[in-house]
Amino acid sequence: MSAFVIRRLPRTLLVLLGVTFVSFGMLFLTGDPAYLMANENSSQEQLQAFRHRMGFDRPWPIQYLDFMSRAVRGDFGTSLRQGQPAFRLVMERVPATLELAVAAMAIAIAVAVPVGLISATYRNSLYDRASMLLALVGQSVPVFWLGIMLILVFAVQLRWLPVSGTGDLRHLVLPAVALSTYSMARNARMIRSAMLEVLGREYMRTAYAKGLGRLTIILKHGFRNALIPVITIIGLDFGVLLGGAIVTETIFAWPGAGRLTVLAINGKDFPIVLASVTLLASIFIAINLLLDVIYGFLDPRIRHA
Amino acid sequence: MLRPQMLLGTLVVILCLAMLASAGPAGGRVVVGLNIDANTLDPHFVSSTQEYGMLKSIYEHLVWFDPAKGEFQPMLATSWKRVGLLTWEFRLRQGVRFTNGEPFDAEAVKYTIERTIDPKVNSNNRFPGAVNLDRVKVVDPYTVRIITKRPAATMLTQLWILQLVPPKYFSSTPLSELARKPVGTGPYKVVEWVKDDHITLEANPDYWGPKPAIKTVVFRPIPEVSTRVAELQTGGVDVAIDIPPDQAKTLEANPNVQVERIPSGRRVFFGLRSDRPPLDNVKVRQALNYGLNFDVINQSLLSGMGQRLATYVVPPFGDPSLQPYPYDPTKAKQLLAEAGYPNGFDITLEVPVARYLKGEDISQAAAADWVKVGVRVKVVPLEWGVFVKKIFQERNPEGIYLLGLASAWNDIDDLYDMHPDFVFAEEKWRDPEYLDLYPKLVLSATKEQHQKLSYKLQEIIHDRGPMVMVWRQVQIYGVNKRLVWTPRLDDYIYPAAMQLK
Repeated sequence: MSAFVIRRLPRTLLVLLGVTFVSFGMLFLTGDPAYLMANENSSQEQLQAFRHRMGFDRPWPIQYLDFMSRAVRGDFGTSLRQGQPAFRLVMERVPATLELAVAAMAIAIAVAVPVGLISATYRNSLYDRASMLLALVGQSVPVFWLGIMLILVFAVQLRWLPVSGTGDLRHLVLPAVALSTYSMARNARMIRSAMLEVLGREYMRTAYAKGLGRLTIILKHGFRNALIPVITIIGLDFGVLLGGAIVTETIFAWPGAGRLTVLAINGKDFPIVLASVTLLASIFIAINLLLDVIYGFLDPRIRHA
Repeated sequence: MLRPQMLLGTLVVILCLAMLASAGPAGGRVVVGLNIDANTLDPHFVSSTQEYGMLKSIYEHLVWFDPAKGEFQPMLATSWKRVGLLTWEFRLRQGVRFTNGEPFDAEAVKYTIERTIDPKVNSNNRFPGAVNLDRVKVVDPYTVRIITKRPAATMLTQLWILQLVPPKYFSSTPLSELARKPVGTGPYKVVEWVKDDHITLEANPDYWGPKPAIKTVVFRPIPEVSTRVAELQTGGVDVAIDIPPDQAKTLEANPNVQVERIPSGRRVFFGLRSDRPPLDNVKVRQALNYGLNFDVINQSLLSGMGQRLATYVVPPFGDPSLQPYPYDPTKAKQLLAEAGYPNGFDITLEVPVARYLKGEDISQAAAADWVKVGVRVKVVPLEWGVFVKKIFQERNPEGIYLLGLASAWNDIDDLYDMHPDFVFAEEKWRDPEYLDLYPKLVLSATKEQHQKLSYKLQEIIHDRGPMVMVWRQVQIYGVNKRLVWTPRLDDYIYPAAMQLK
């Protein structure tokens, strides 16, 4: 097991390196932040001094190397606008984003698995057609619109749930549902088609021939074999959820890392953008590494390959 | 022997006293829905109106400003006078303490001013060049003199920016700590700040002035305006800022909500680059003013709440006799012909994206108006950072650009915006009479002379200035009716002025 993880490690580091390189390059292309820091009282000399102090007057490969050499030691610099260590600012927000993403994922799986399984089992039934139509709608609806509709219906009209912000579990419901919808719909469709493929396999016929109960066959022989593509999708989904969290966090005034990053991009707060991109990418990579390990449990062939 | 009545009476008195003690002078909780969170609570590093506003409850100034009257009132200074042309002397309020126990005195004033210009601190709210500071002199613990190199007519305006800090705490605490934990003399202090979620203020029990009526004030950043409106409708917040005109109508239908439309100090106008053809010609600039149909813009985009600007200077300093340009396309065409452009010309209009209320829409509407008189306008939307760089720093607008500048609430500063010495004088307009009169305004000795010069300068801008006046942007607040509060003209939210019904 640990050998497997160690084998994956270099690739993981390479991905991280690529992520920081690309985001650094793109930030650099959008111009230096000094202009946005200015107000009516700042002179050209002050801007120049600011640039020099922050090191923005150096060639960008040098800036990148400097950034990387500090970043590997956990120092992403000081936020240009908030005057605090960028890494700490991002770390403070990560739990809220993870809370939202994990809740959304839980909802998505809890709904998608039974829906997909039943749809596949009763293929072409009215239930199958209705739920797949709903899934199509769920996959197409923009999070932004959905979030506002959820607020209008459940918070403003029915008054069942709070509009936005944090607090008890009730605050988590609407943003998590809004964020989960896309994954929920996509996973239901994925599970259905993965199951359909498995259901047509010969070992399923063998299982029936052995005289096993239908439920045992579907869950033990069918679902377990359908899980591999589903797990892959769920791993990728986590990236979608972290990305979607940006919109959801904005609509529901949720204090997560996504919102921080967007504001930092608009305000050209380079240290925060780089810290949060690196951190979110690391989380994403870690989760996919974890899923790779889980594959091994589900399918011993992968472990031994 | 105690009689039962006496016992009962004593009990009632004790109960009443106990209730009074626990209720305290203030009670209640008010939630304010803003659109962004503060970046920092270090008063010398803040940049947004909302941060300034929040901090005015925590840190205080030597003077207090009332924008409705255009008048300065005592705050931490009880009185002030000018000693000669170059010196301002302030008598300070005695017995005031910062919430960490440090006393407020002349040293604190000196320390604060010096901190803002300390290159090691590198504040972005420096005690400004306009004042030409020479030095700050502590005369005695409660008298301080601010001495300038040139006469500083707008000293009090600058002091309304300068928030006073405790020297010991500030000199012994790292910057990153100061950004999170403010210590001031104000009516409120910060008890909790969860970034991007809420800042909670609580009434300062030792405040030197009248105690605020509301004990707890929560500022919540809610970036999405539909969410802010929903929070207001459900009572989640008591005040919501930046309501768009179309949503204001919906809100008015809610029996619990009051909508306040406050004309702010932000004057939105089309800047005109005046150092090269065709906009260097006064007649062309006037033609553009006559060619703008503000009534249509007002009705279709601003729900009819706008008023076209007549003068660039905000009340009460604006010249009331100046009239806004009427819509007169015939006159506009005639002026263009007289200027040598009978067939009009092509020009670019640069507008920052998502910066001013309906900014892009107003620009498109204006462009359509101007096409009708022959000026073919190409509207180019620019991201704010790009806009700032091109217009302010490089001072290189293509031709026309949309801008909204917040007023400093005095005519000297307002009129300086058009002066070529102003650091962002992107319009490149040089009018000999204006350049001659402006310094006289700054040095004017009497109120009458000041007003006469100010009105004359306003007239010059109106008649031949480098701009097409649009409007004074209106700030729309939604306020829960349980709250008694009139928003300030300068957009600062000051909870000590709020009361619950």
